[in-house]
Amino acid sequence: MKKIWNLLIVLMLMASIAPLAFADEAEDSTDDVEIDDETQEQVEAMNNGIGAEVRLLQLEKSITINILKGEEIISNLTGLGFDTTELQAILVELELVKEEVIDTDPNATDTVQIFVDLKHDAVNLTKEFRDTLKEILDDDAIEQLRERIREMVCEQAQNLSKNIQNKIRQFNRNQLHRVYQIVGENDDSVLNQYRNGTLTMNQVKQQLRKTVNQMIKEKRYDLFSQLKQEKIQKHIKAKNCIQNASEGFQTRQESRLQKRLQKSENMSNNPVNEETCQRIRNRIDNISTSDTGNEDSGSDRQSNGHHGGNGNQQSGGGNQ
Amino acid sequence: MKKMILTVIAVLILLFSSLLIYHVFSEKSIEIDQGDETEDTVDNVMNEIDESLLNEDHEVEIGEMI
Repeated sequence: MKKIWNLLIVLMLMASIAPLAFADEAEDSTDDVEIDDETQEQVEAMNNGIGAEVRLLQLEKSITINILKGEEIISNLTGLGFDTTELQAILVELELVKEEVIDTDPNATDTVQIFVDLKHDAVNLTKEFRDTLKEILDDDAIEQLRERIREMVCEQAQNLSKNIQNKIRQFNRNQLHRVYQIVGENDDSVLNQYRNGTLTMNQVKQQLRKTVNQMIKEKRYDLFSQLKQEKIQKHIKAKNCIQNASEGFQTRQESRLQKRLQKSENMSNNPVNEETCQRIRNRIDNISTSDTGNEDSGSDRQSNGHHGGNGNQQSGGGNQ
Repeated sequence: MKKMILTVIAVLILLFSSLLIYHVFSEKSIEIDQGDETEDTVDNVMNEIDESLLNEDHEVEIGEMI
């Protein structure tokens, strides 16, 4: 009798835990993507137009540098008589991603989503380029080529850097202006000097530290709690944006690829563009296949009553 | 047999209550610690300001081509 009671208790416990386990599994969607911590941090600054503009410019700069380096690598390989059609096709795709970054409106409601998507594409294409290069060259040749392009100076990237620095100073000036308002300091001369590049951020911070140090305790507490509150609000907003960006990722990816395919089909007919179109078509097919596969495995899962692979992806992260 | 069950229950109650007391006290000490940390010291205010700013040297990394 006792044994039966024990068995019943164990069964009841298992029954109460089971729905929790299944609920967790149900939340996994095949269409979602996991966004890395670095991208999440970058997104936090995108809660206003200038912050979003900074992140998009930074992404544009990284893609620009990679395209220029890619072109240099290809020119070296062509000189050595290697077939570089695939590498060139990857660069064409990277160019298309860059155009999309440039066309993105920093004030739109879906800017974070677009940033996450395009960064993901840029990371993947860069990795593909690297992997393709490894198939063509051995480690020594790669190391020699790496040394040759290490010191490459990109004028376009330098111009973008200046623009980014300018925007960051504008962003920081606005943030510090709010702090100065809370402090009750109306003289903006320090901030304007920082904005013009006459003062560095460290110099501004030193001056601000003196002001904060002279504040009475109550006022300092007000400043501290307001800053904390703003940080939490920003964090919550970023979390929501990240949540939206991670949902429906694969569907958006498919529509992006369709648009890129249309663009590349309109380009002049040459082996590189044909390769680009083929690569994009293959990727669209892969997405459709994985969708069907996941649907199948989903129905299998339902009929078999256990969890299969969810096909989730990881987004962002500049893997080296 | 009954005595044994009662002893086990008593031991369990003792264990549970001591765990509860320990948890309550450790929570309190954490709160006190956090109170110290979250105080409006100049360093903490400056840290909060720092976190609201963008670093001029930061880059969006997408990996190397080679």
